Amino acid sequence: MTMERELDTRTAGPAREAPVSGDELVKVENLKVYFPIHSGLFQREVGHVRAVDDISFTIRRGETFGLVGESGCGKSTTGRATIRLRVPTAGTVGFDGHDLSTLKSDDLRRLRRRMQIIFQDPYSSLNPRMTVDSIISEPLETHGLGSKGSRSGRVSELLELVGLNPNYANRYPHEFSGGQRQRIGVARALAVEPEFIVCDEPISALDVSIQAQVLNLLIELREKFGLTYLFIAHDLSVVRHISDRVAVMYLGKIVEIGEPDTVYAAPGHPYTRALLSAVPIPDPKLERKRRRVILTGDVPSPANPPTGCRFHTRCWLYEKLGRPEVCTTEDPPLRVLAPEHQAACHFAEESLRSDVGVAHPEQAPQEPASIAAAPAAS
Amino acid sequence: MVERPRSRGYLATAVREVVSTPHGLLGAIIVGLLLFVAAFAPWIAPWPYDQQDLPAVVANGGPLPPLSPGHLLGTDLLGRDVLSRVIDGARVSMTVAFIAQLAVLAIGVPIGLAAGWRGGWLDTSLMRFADIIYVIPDLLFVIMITAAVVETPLFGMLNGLLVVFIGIGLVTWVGMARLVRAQVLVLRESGYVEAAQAMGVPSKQIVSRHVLPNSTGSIVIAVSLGIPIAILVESTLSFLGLGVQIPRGSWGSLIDAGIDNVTRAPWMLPPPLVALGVALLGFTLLGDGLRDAFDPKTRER
Repeated sequence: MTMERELDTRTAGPAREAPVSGDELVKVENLKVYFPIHSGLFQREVGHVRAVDDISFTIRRGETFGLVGESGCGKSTTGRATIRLRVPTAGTVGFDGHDLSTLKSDDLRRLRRRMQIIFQDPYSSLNPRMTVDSIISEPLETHGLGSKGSRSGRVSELLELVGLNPNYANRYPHEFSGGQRQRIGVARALAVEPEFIVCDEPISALDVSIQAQVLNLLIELREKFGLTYLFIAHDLSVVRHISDRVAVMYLGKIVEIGEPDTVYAAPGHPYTRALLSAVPIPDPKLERKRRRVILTGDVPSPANPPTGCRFHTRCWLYEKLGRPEVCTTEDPPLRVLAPEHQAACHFAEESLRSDVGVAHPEQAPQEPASIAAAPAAS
Repeated sequence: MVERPRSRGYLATAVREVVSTPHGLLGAIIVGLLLFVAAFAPWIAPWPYDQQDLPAVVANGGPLPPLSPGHLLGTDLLGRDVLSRVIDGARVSMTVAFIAQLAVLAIGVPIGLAAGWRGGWLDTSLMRFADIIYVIPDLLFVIMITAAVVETPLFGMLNGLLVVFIGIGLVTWVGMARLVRAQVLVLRESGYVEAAQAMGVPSKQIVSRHVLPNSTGSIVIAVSLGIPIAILVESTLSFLGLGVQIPRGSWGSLIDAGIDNVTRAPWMLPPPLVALGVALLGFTLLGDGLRDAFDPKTRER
């Protein structure tokens, strides 16, 4: 039985091509995820929460793609939709050339071996009724990897890989600390040797002292196995530290995308500038040179987003420029500001010239904002 | 291979917690005793429940009062030992309690799982159906079902208990189904279910390995709190003459007989009443203890 399944995955599964660094592994096109709002006696659909509203991006093989934004901006939904844990309302997600929406369920199941997810909350992501051994061997069993006997050896190996004592395999999740639990979650994701891992705020629920350890573990594993990450976080410095490219999300849209050094040094979108202005710079000279801006008001409801540019209701640049009409009427598309740098703002050039959040590039040396949680390693 | 130390599981931990609280421990002791008495009733009882001690009754010129030789709690009008009948009644009540709960589980759990996991129209139709059943008063419904089959051979099966099991099952599955459905709705969103979906674990296995085991706490609580209700329903039915059939006596029919003869043999009434009260108390205490152990949110600290 086991042999049969093993053979089956080898022959019928999507062929595992030799990894070529740089080609597109994940291609998201015009992705929309809407959640229906039901109301009334007959639970009629009265509207949609536009969690993700028409976003496109690609992730190259071996790359770490960072996704930042406030709570509720749709970043986690995006992460889940890229591995089809959520069914998109519209748009396509391509994984290594396969369109996930057209795959038959058996093929999708086989493809799942190549993509995994690490969750934010290490407490709810492990089944409290299963031992660590059965948690980590579940993916092996599902994909028919290894025989029953060899699996416990593999579990020990994985535990060691994530820095846990293999003798802990028969313990239950409640016997571990948050950081250890997160390591178990990482081991579970790695069990099937995936190529692509969605890291959904993998360190934000952890103690600050543990964050750096887990972050470094993720970096180490990336180097070791040539993993591709979609790294979701709300901590700008963490994303900068780990990512090759960063996308900033606001209310279901990507507002800026680019290499972290460019995006962090010269943000083209006023929202990115506002976010960066909240990150302290541990250099009084630099800190004095920049201007801080505090966003007022709440994030508008994604069920009823503002017209035109979604950010205009809270935008400091909109106010500064005397409320130009175009911001309220036209949704700005992503525009190329520099190679590998795009922002969705009608007045991106104005934003680039500003000193909000980041000092103006002419005056500012290319000093990165502090990396709060990560030591200099890697 | 390295020796991996074993840890105590979730259930074992919960059981330890139950007996660590005074009321949980008391409940467990009472229930344990009842189960023991029920299991070994024929060996514990001094007389067979239906044997009439006619010579003694004739000699006495009426039913024997308590503390008579050979009859600690006296006899009824027909000369049957009261203590033995109460002990045998425990057997009837325990059987009803557990088998009726099995029927509740057999109906309620699959319906709750299906409604919660599949959602959509299946959920809506199952739950609306449950609402309809729920509207009908429990006892009335069981009486209706029993009365409907009273003329058929089905009624006589298992001394009339089969109908009681089925009746209680058909009525009280609603609570179980709702509970399980609510659990499924919560667990469906949990990280480990999502993780399992991301791994490509088939739905059936997600339900059996992740959803159901994590609902057992609530299910065990519901069962233990449903048992006293089942005992009470059976006693009520027997009291009304619809439950267990003569010469077998359940606590309900013994109470009924006790009330009928309260002027001639007043000692017949207290024993089944006390037994019923203690049993209800025991199961309720145990249920509370289980709830505290499984659901830390309701625990007082």
